[in-house]
Amino acid sequence: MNPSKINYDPNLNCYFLTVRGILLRQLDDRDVSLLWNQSGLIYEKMQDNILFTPYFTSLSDSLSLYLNVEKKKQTEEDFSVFLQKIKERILSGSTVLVYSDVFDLPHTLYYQKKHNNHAIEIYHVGNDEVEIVDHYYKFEGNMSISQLKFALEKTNEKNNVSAFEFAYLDTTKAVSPDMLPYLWDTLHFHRKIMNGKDPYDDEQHQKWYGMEAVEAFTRYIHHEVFEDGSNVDISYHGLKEYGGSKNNMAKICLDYGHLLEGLEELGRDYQHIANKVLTIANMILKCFISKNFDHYETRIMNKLQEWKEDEEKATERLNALFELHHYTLNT
Amino acid sequence: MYKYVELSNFVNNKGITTASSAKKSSFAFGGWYSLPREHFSKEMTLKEDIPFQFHLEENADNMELEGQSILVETSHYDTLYILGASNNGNFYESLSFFQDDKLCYTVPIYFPDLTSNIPIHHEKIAMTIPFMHNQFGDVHHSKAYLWLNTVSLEDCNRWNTIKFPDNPSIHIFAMTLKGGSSI
Repeated sequence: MNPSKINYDPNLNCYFLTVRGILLRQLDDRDVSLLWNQSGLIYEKMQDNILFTPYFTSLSDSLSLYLNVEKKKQTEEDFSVFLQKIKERILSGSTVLVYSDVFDLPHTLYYQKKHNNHAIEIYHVGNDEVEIVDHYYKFEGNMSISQLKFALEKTNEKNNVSAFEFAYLDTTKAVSPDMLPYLWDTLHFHRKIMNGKDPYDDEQHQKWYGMEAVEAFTRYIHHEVFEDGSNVDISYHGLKEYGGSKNNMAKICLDYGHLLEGLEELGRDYQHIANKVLTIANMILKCFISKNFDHYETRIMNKLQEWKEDEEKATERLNALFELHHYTLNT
Repeated sequence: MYKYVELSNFVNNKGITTASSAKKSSFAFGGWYSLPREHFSKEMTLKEDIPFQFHLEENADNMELEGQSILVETSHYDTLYILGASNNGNFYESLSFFQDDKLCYTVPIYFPDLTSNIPIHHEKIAMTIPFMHNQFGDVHHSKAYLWLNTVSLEDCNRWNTIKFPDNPSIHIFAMTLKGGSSI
């Protein structure tokens, strides 16, 4: 039996999983896992909406910063040329990423049910079929070329673009990061954010960081879930993404805890926060689906309060770790 | 030697269905999937020859955790075996043992996602189910797993209540105590 080509991790979204899947065919697992080291807390008021995110650097920038890998895109108007370019790229050593609407991907739960842009890996191009790997839905198998063409045309139509696009990762100059500078860099950004500061000193937007972001998002959740009650998308997905990012950070802290005193304990705090935040996300979804708001309101608000207390404790530990190693808040 | 923990008054969620009644599942959000009824019987001996009692009732067959307290006859039990899985992620919580209102013992329990075969800690797979039902048919590309947590009660001599935390992502299908002499 051939080994599976799927690389699943419940803490990564479809885009991250696909990038990771492609990279793992070329680079060492230890280095690739270092890319997911962002778990800040940023709340931003947009024109009609809000943004709650753990991320403050794009994955493309992290690829370049830590591994010296470049994410490149290629677009083609003609589908057969597009397919030929993918074939050439795979032959030269890198599989590719494409986005398709899940509505037209038969192996997903949302086939013909729901529209959503979704990243998949194209692993091989044959004469009539392509071999795809969907790391998120844990699927590897063939898809006819006509089916892929149809799915990508529909996706382009939905996104109002005309050209077909794929992305690949240039790993020819890849490096392996030194762990201690990497860890300090990672912790430095997190300490800054969790103490309420913009990691890049950007004063342009109306943003909240760290504990202020927790409080602002808690107020938002109460409004979206219990006052409006018509949609819980932002509350659920914001918490889900944050919980996953916290688990990724926890893993880094636990894996490299032996390099820095206090790091392992911080990793356990982060694990605990991730468990709590993902529990709240599921509670919100259950509440919304059951429409039993009274049954869930106190329970969810209690968990949100516990989350805030857990974040305060972890931030104290992070600050103590810097003090222990003679760093000050202004470094 | 073994004693089933009676869950019939506590089951509050439907996770095991036939193909035709898959829409009744409330295990995953919006009835996305359920465990096939044909793989279960009322009593089953699973991993390490531990017997379990399932509650295969019409409306509910597992206990979604929302802070329940279960009263058990006081005795010197050696071990508690808990069979369950999480929905939409891997989760862990603390289980508390009380003698009336007095906390005696707290222990973490770990339940990976129903579709995951990777443990979070030291829990083991007790049951592998080759496919699942969903409201559109059978899902064969994803297996389901029920996980076994083994809780040693050697440090917990006298107790009569198990208190569960509030985490509706965790589902308990059966519990069995080992040992037990009246005191």
